[in-house]
Amino acid sequence: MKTDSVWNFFFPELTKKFFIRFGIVLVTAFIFFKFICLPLFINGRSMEPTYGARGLNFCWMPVFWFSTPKRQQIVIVRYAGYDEMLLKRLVAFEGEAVEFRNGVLYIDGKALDEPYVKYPCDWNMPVRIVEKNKVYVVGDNRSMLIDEHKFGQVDKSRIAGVPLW
Amino acid sequence: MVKYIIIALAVLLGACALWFFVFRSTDEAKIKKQFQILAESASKAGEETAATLYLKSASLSALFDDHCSLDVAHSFVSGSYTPEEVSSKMVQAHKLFETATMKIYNLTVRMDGENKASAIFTLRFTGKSKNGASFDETREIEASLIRKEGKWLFCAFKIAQVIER
Repeated sequence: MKTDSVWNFFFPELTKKFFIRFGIVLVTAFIFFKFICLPLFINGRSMEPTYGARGLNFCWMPVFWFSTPKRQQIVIVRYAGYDEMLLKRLVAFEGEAVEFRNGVLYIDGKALDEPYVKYPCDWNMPVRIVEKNKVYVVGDNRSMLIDEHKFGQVDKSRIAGVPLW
Repeated sequence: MVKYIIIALAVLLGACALWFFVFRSTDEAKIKKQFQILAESASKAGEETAATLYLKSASLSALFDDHCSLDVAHSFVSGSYTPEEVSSKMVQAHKLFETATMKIYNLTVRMDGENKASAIFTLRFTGKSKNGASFDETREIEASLIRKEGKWLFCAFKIAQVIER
C-alpha cells in the first residue's frame, strides 16, 4: 500500500485533471518567482552585520507597486539585469546633500542616526547632491575600505524591491 | 509507459517549434546571432592553437564596423577602435588568460530604423588569468549596431553606469 502511494506520487496517473493542475502550478510558479518574488543569493560583505556575506533571500517586488521607498529602508537595486543586484540601504533622496565626515553620514548637513551601522568607520567624502530621479544608497558595513564599497546614487527605476527577510 | 513516450515526444516537438520561432531569420535573430558569435569568439576554454586563435580573431573582426566606440565611464579603455584593433586586443587578452568565458543574458534588441538597431544585455565575464587569479564580472551593456551590405555590425558599446558616487 505504502509503496503504491510513493509510486503514485512520483508517477501519477496521467489524467486530464492532473495536466490541468500541473499546468496551473507551473505557470503560477513561473509568474511568482519571475515577477513577484525573485530568489537571490547574497554574496558580499557590504551589508554586514544586517546580512551575512552569504545567504539565500528573495526580492519582494510588489512592495513599491503602490508606494515609494522610505529613508533607511533596505532596497534591492538592479545592477546588471535581474542577474546581479545590489542589496543596500537607502539614505537620501533627490536634491539632498550627502556627505561622510569621519565615518558619520550627513544628510543636508545633519548627522543621520544609523543604529544598524555596528562596525567602526572612518570614511570621508565631500558633499554630493543627489540628482533628479535618483536616490542615494549605501551598505551597512562601513568598516570596509571606502574604495572597495559600492555605494552612490542610482536611478529610482532601478529599485527592484526589498528583501523578504 | 506509452503515455510517457507520447508526452516526451510532444515536449520535444514543442521545443523544436520554440527553437524555430526564436531563431528564425528575422533581423532580430540575425543580431542575436552576431552576439552569439561575439561571445564564442571572445571566450577561451583552454589551450588554443595558433590556427584557432587566428580563426577566432578573424570572425571577431568581421563583427565590427570600421570604427566602434567603447564608452566605459572614467576608464582609459574608452575610445574608438577599428576591427583590426579589436581582434588584436582579443589576441592579447587570450594570451593573458588561461580560461575566459563570455556569456550574454537578457538580450533585448530594438530596431531604430531600417539599418540601425540597439541592444541592451547583461554580460558575464568569468575565467582565470595565467597567474592564477580568478575573475567574475557582470555588467549591463548597451550596444549599437548598423547594417552594412546586409550585415549587422557593432558600432558602439557603452557600459551602463548604474551606481555613481
